[in-house]
Amino acid sequence: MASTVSQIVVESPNTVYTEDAILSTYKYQTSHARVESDRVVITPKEETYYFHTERKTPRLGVLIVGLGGNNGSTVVAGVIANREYASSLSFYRRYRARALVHIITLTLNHSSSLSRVLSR
Amino acid sequence: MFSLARGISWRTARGVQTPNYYGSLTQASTVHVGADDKGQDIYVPLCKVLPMVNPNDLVISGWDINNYNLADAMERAQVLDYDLQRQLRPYMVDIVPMPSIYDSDFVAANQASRANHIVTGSKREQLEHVRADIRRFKADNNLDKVVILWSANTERFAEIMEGVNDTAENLLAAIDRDEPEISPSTLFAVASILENTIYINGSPQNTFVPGCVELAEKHRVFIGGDDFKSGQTKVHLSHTSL
Repeated sequence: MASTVSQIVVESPNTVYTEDAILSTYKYQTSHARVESDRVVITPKEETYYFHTERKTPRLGVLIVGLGGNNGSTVVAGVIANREYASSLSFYRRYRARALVHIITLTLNHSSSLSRVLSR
Repeated sequence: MFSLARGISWRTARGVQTPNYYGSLTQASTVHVGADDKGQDIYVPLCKVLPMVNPNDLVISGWDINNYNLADAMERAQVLDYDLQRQLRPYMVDIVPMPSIYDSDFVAANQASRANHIVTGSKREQLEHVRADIRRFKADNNLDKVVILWSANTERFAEIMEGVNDTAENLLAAIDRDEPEISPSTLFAVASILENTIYINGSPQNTFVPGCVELAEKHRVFIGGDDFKSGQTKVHLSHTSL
């Protein structure tokens, strides 16, 4: 099921979707402790966080210091391999779709010529 | 046609392998988001929780103190299977890192023989050189946002000195007078902050001297990270804010 998920939506009073951003409020509940001579006094503590997330992902660049090192060269290799694999998959799907259209067209042409032959 | 359709795949001792992102926290893991009416747990891919850039869409470049192109660098790294390296070579041979900042006082002596591709001049000139590199990269690739990632050798700790790196103002003044106690990584971080670019540190060193942190706060630029292994959580957390 999860493989078909294209997005998640949060319906909550703490989450607001605008055209450009997702605005959310999160209350972090923790405790505060203090030592008073022979006892420790604990009180609840709440901190509120406001998150602002841009909805449009940017066209993103990464600049690596040490690009020619083991990490740098391997990460570039990994991204290229995955990118080429992904684009070949979409190429294959387009190719398969074109081939299907081609077969249908051929079949139609063939059946019309077949009907012409039959009508003679 | 069909060999093209397979894209990059390579032979290993265990058979034919195709690329995947199984090792990636954002691309290959799921998050438990709750349970439905029947008590059935629902999981979603982590990369769908918030809008996130797909790694295939990243534009990557960078600096190195060595002039190897990335095909030769990949071979030197001895990480990937030969059959994969062979197929990646044509894609990587034209990628050559930009010259980087080298300071023998801050890195291990074994880097000296590697350093043949360096930005010379005063610290101010080096800083301006890196800033120009960032601007050019952003403009040439029509990018909305750039992240700088330190993946180079670990430096020695820089000494925290009054009047040198204790405040943002002192740090910039110290760069201007070529103060020796400013590390290459701090210069990269300062360049990054002044170009309004996120900076992630991947090595356990004190790049973020107090003056550098103050400068980032002043310019409201995100900086973070202290190690790729022990600090991996911090790196991943920072990615969600992109």
